Amino acid sequence: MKYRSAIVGCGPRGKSHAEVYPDIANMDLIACCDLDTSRRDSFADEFGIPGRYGDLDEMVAKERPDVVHLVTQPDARLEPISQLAEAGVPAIIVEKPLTLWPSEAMKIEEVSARTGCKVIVNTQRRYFPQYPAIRELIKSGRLGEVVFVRASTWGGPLAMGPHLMDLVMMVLDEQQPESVWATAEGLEGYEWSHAAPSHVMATYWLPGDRRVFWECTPRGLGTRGVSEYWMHLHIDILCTEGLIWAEQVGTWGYQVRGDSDVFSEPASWWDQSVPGQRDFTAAVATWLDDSSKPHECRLDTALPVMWAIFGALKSAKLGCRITLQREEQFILDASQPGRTVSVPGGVTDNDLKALRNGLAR
Amino acid sequence: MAGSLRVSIVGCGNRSVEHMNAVDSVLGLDVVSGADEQADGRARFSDRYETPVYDDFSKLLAQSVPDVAAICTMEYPRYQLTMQAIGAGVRAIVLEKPMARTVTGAREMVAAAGAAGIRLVVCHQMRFADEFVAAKLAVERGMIGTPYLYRASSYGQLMEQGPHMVDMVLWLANDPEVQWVMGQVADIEDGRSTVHPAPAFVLGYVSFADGSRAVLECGRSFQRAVELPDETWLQKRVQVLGTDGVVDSIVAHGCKLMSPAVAGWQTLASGDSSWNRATVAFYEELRDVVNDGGTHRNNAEASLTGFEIIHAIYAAALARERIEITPDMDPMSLEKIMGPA
Repeated sequence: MKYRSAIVGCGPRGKSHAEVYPDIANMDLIACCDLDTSRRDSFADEFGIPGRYGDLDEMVAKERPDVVHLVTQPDARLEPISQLAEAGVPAIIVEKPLTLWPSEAMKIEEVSARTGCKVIVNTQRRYFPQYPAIRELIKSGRLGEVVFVRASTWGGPLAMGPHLMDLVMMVLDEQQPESVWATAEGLEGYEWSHAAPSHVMATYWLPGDRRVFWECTPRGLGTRGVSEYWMHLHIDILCTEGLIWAEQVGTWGYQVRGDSDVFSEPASWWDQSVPGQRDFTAAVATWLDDSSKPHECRLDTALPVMWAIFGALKSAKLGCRITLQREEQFILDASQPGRTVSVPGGVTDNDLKALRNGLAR
Repeated sequence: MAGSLRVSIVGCGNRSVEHMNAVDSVLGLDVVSGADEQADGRARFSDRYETPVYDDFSKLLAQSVPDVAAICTMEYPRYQLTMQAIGAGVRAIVLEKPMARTVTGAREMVAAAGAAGIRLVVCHQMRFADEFVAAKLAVERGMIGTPYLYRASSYGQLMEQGPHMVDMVLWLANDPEVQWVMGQVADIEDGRSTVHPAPAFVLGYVSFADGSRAVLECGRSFQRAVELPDETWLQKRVQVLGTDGVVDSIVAHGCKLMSPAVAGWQTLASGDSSWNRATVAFYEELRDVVNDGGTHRNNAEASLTGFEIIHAIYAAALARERIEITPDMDPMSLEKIMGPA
């Protein structure tokens, strides 16, 4: 079957979604939508897109797309996702982060479950070959048990943070943290499109007493020697029997006990971003073709990423370690400084607003 | 050879036994006196030595000023005792860790000793254990490339084993300039009953001017070394991640290296024999620098940086913001965190 795709949002990120279509045999880009007529027409001309719309409802009604790319700013995700899902669109690719707000995350989950609309978050690095390779390497047990993960990026917690946490969870075979203890600062981050503190550092506790040190801050360690701001996306994994690393620009590889050679291969965002986006997009069609082949970036994997990040922000607000539990329940650890408090009901939008207010003071 | 250096043990509690054992093992050091306010401490000393023991350090100094004062008390009286020893004109002072209770006190002690030309050293004896000496050599020889992440974890909280952990990070990192510190504390009530009252669990992040970072995890919720499921006080681990490999050291257990220069993990040190005589080696070096000159690897100037980091972690936790180590850094952060019992 050949699937009909449309793109909502004709900005620079939209172009990176569109440019892979010529290399996907069973997907056609048939429409685009943007309020800015000039930008929309220029975009459509560049990619040879016949359908051009300024209204989402009209586009869906006339074009009946199978896949819609939602490449808009992150401050309003729920409304267009709901609109598309309720209109019967089978699959939505949404740029990361899935949302800026816990309440939206829960509602998106509900809408997807109720309508059957497949929501896929554009954490396309899962389709770079090194990350599945690392996951399989860890699962093979060759490197023993994972002890510690250092994950570092210069982008903010809701800008590059979702990519970073997503990759950590992926290589750990979707293992989710049990608790988190985070610090945050930098009110200027709220002036950015992915509104959040500009500096967040967190330690996550994972089952088996594993630790993940996760930092999203321009002061982060990132990858030594890399100068481009957005190229800092670095994961080190210390295991009982070896070491794995993955740089966004540089190399990825591993060393393992008993091997005389270090395995190392080039890793380059510049070379991998287009094929990665292509394979990511094509995998949506594969999932639509065959439900037994789910997309790597489906809500099942994307939502825990958001809850882990929201949990870090709540921890930073409270200044203590909090336990992360399934079903969006976040209960304070009894070991928090000085007092024992229980907060039922999970992370809320108000928690994130309170963090901002606290930083402002 | 110079005559033996005369050593006084100040504070004869449990911890002093390690010092007594070490001093007794080192040729050229002799225990000549002791002091302890507590009768059981004096009894411990008298059971071992026939030399005088006093209930007041002032009385000891009035009778005879030793060459070396080993101050093995808890941290609270350390400032006063150190200043007394400096005033009396000893040649060297050994401080148990933590070197003081407050950062202000530590700074004044180091300054006073420096002005008087007295060697002040802190018993961070991990610098003498093979498992960490091997790690330092591996780092210095470039076997892991450029180090960029130091990770330290211990069962003991930041004022218990933390001084060792911070000191070891600084040593392996070649005493870099500290840019800023962040920290978080927990388990305050549990921490009140620990030997050196402080929060029973701490996370600390340290940024160094050379671009490297340290992540510290000290206290009861620490990450156990998987190889050591049951031993707690020996759970002191430092891992250094470099551009070309990693070195991993655990007190009394060994040092492992993974580097392109070798096949897989290579054991650089193993066993507990070196750790067990680390305090002896500490005193041997003290004897040598007092007699022959030079700088002890545990000199208090280096230790002070580590102590400042510890208190910057508390200050950062209290302020909930990034802290730079400055002369006016809040010296009472730990006391404010602990509050009234």
